[in-house]
Amino acid sequence: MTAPATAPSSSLGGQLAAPRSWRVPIVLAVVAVLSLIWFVVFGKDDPTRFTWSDPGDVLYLDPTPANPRVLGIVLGVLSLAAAAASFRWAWRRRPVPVWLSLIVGIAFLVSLVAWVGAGGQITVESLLTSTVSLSTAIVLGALAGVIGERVGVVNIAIEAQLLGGAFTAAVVATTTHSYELALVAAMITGAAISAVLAWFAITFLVDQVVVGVVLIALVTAITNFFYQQVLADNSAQFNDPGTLPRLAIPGLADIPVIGPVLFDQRLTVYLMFLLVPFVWFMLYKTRWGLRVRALGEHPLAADTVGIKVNRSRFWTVTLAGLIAGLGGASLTIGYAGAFVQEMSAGKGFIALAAVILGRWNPWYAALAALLFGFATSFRIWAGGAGAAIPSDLIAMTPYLVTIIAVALVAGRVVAPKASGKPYIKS
Amino acid sequence: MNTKMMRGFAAVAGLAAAGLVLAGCGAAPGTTPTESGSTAAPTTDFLACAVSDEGNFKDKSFNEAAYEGLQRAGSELGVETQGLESASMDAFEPNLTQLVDDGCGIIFAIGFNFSLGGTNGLIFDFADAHPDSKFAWLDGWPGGTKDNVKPIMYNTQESSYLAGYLAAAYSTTKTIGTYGGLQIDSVTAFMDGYYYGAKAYEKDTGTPVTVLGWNPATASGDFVGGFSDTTVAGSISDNQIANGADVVFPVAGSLFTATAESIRSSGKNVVLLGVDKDIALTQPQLADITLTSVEKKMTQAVFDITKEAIDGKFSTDPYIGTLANDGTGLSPFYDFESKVPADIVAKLKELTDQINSGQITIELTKNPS
Repeated sequence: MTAPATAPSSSLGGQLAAPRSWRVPIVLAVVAVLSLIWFVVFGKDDPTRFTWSDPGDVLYLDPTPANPRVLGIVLGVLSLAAAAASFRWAWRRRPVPVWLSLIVGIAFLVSLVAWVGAGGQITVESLLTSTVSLSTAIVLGALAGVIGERVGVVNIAIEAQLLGGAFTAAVVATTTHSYELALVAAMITGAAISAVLAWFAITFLVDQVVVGVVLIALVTAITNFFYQQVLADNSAQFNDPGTLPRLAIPGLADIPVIGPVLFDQRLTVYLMFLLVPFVWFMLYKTRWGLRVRALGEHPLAADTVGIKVNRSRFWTVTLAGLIAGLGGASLTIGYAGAFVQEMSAGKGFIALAAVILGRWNPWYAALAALLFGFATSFRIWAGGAGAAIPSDLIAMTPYLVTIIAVALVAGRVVAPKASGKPYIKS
Repeated sequence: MNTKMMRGFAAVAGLAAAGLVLAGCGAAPGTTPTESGSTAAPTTDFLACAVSDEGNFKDKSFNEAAYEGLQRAGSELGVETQGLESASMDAFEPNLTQLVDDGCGIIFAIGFNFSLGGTNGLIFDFADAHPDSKFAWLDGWPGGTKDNVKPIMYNTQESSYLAGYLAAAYSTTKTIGTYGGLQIDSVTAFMDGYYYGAKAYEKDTGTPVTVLGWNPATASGDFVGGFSDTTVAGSISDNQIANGADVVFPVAGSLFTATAESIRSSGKNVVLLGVDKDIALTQPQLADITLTSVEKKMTQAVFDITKEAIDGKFSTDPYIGTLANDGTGLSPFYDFESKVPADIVAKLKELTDQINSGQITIELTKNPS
């Protein structure tokens, strides 16, 4: 993981140091204390069985029974320790490392899962594989959004790119029987939508949010039109793509839990795993990335050193569209097969939220997207677990986690300065 | 620069207009009355009309089934037909108003959502305001009568009861699953029937049957939260299959395609049950994993009621589609004919008789609204 981009320079000026920031340690401590109280006072003693593998798997691990109350105490104490450690960092005027927040967050989620599943079993593998399935499109959409905003163009139209990519992938795969062509077609669709957005925003200086919203309406209308006129009655010819084959990585795929989640996936998921570090590397470790970020922060400065602002912005946003289009393909040929009307179902907007929650950083944006995916996966699992807790309450908890996560990063959120602002050369 | 911006706005307006035009085309049945220049039937000047629920007439599900009834009336009875699609619930009232203005002889309001809004529900309020028009309303009737509204309801719990019994008998793991689009009465009726049918098998044979995804006792279960999110529908199906379900019954419109893909990629011997329409017929590529479908035969009901209205026999007595009047029922088994033992087929017949005679009654869950 990277060092946060906004690290204050602590080595300078020994006496006149910046004020200590206590927000993160306080939030962590509150979460730790509250979860300790909740999972102990309202704790349950029916053991929860964590199952790690199917009976038919090559490597079989026995289920681990755990008492939710005891687990809550152990994890709560761990959280408290992490919170205490974070105070040390704050005292030294250092930013609290993200992994401390992650420990508290994950400890809370595990206690929550154990608490809800008391007396039943938790198939850890399916909880996590669903998380990946539900997040893939969001992560890819968020990556496209991050690049767009880093270069200074706000891409509201991620939803349109996912929907368009999903549609073309399904139709091309069915008609040509080639998943490779389908992936390419979906990516081109995503790029084409990006290009329209960029063209209107850069050349015509139209408000980027307005163009984005119009593009979503347009793509929704186009896909609905073709779905109703063509696909609905001829699904065998046009809308029966099936899905990409699963590519199990020999050996690794047999590891319990980790294997199915990370190493027995479809191409779209592997590409997602690879693209997160790739985009981060490109943005932060290459000359190209430096230019991109300069364009999003201070286009005038970039212009004075000879970077063609508008042309670079256009091509960067268009290239980012390839990733969003791939996200669309992950919905159809990467998971659900046939295209269904408006199947993106708001994932593009969640990707947009992940961009902001992820502080315009590919790693954090991907983490935020995974958190949203986990929230949905958790809701599905909890509904099926038949927990005696009202399902609305269960459905709410992951969003609570999200709010806490926002509180942790809020204040430190600094958008690229020129994001969304057209560059007019005077 | 100013001219540039002007051009920009003009271009965006163009994009938006293109979207609207396409949206309009998508709703083609709405914007142009479908002339039925049929040769067989004598042409009357009767106009039969329908307003869709949120969605459109090509949803492979209940809107489409109802609209087909209207079209059949058009071609066989020689009446003119007109259908308006509602992109959202906001479109219900303008659509109804337009049809009243067009002089429709009967207006079908399709869907549970017409019971929402207004003081007594949108459709009842609207019918009060337009006493000279005749309405027929599919799904969602809360009881009570209006002088010009014919409620159309389906006891889908009856056919789903058979489906649940069949699923439990067919299942080798004795674990079966179901999920819904939204937790509303017209969805959970299917799930109730399915649950109690499976439990009836459990009682008959003494073999415990687990039903995943719906528990009438707590009124809780698996719901997608809509009818379009394929990844959620797929994840629910994945979960149920991972937990041993080898029959899955998606009560969520066209989302069954996501369940089909979950089944295919699990590589396990799992089947699904279709909903509303006969999926093995409408989606032949899924016939090999479709045990049967629980049909809601709205096409016939819409046709019959249109005919009654033409003949001047419109009544406000509710039409209740049941197993007895073939308003709802199971589709043929097709590929699975040989895999359903004869004694189960006989048992399903026996259950049908018991339901028709009232020996078996199926309790419906009250959903929190």
